[in-house]
Amino acid sequence: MFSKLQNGFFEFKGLSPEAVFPDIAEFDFVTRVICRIGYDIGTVSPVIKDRIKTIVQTGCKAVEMGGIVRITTVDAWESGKISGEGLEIDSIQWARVVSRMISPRQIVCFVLTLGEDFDRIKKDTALFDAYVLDGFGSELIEAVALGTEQRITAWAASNNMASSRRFSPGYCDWPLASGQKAVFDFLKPAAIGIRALSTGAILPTKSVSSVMITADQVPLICPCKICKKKTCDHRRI
Amino acid sequence: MSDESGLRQIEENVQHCNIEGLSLSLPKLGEDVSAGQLLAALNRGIENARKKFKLGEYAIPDFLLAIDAYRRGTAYLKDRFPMGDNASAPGIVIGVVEGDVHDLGKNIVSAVLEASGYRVMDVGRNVPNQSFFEAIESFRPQVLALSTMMSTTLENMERLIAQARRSYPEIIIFVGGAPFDPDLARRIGADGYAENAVTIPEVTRRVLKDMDTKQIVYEKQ
Repeated sequence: MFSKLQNGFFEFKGLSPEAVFPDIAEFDFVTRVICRIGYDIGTVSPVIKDRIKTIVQTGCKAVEMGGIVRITTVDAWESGKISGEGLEIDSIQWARVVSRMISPRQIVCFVLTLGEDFDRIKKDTALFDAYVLDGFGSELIEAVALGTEQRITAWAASNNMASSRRFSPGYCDWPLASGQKAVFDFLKPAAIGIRALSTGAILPTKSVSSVMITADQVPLICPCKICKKKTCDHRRI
Repeated sequence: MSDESGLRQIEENVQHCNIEGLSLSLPKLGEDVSAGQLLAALNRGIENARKKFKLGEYAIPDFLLAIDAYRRGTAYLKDRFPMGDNASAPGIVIGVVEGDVHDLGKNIVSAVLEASGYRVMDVGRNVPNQSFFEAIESFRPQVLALSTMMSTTLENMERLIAQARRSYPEIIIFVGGAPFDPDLARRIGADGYAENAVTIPEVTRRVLKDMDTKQIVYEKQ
């Protein structure tokens, strides 16, 4: 992925999940989906398991991964905001994380999608199938986002840098609607069929947008250790 | 196969989420079986499945399979006894409000309400406020059911509810989705809130009954 970066920008469309994230084959999506939708893996019937497997295979065929990665330099992180050229992250918590970094370098911003066809096959299908597909889509896009995060971390390491965890609009104190607008204004992903509504929702629905910060040293990879919200859904420790 | 055992099989196939079994048993029903008898068997089946879900014997996807079976049954019913919709059943307009595209929960609630005998007009997701009003004008529902999974849509949702109250004071407004609890539902101006798709038929029945009572009280005054 990063070998194709040109001027800190990389765009792709119509790829399989394996092409974007080769380690994806290690994920047992059928088991993940079975657990996610409320079954017990030990007691789920073979008939249901087979049906879920078939639906997951159908879902796989409908995936056409698209995405954009764009990198800019970190210019400032005072006043509760992280600023780079063309992108401002309005989050006091993440500005604190950056303030502890040694020589913050870059903001790596990306958006990923499973594509419109994946949304399309969920329509006009049986409720059970739609439910399984929705669970599979959530598991798959999260796995690809995690894989992208790992590749950005590895790429930063190969350039003698460390990186933060990924965070997205709506995480911590970064407002969803204005944060999504900032990310989409920066990435301009409409060309590959991804758009954000004014509320922060993304179309196609199985899409994620994220940001990571690189620096010479990153003592704190996310704000959770210094955050008082112990029951936060996004808590990572 | 007697009519009675055939109808029992229909009921059990819906209850046990056996769509294939249902597809085989439906055409074997005798000619004497009426639309009412078949619908009653389907209703008993879905009600039993709902009870199993409430008791924790079924997971959500099991209940969805039962609804899929029920829908197969009602599709067959409409083919075999073409008669139009039940115009006397309470009508519900349901949709995901503007700015939100998460429609899985709404689709499930819509199917559960349909399976509970309501007339349902599903207007989709990311629905502009004006489209809800056009749907109310054309469908004349008793209930407007609004769904969102996001908090960033709530401001507009409150405006939509206030406008619906002004234009259609008789309509009952339900809300549902991740941000809601009964308190927020009340504060945003809704009449009802159901925590999940399984309780929605009971909440709907209760609220409709309460509204009838209120209307009677108002008429007496």
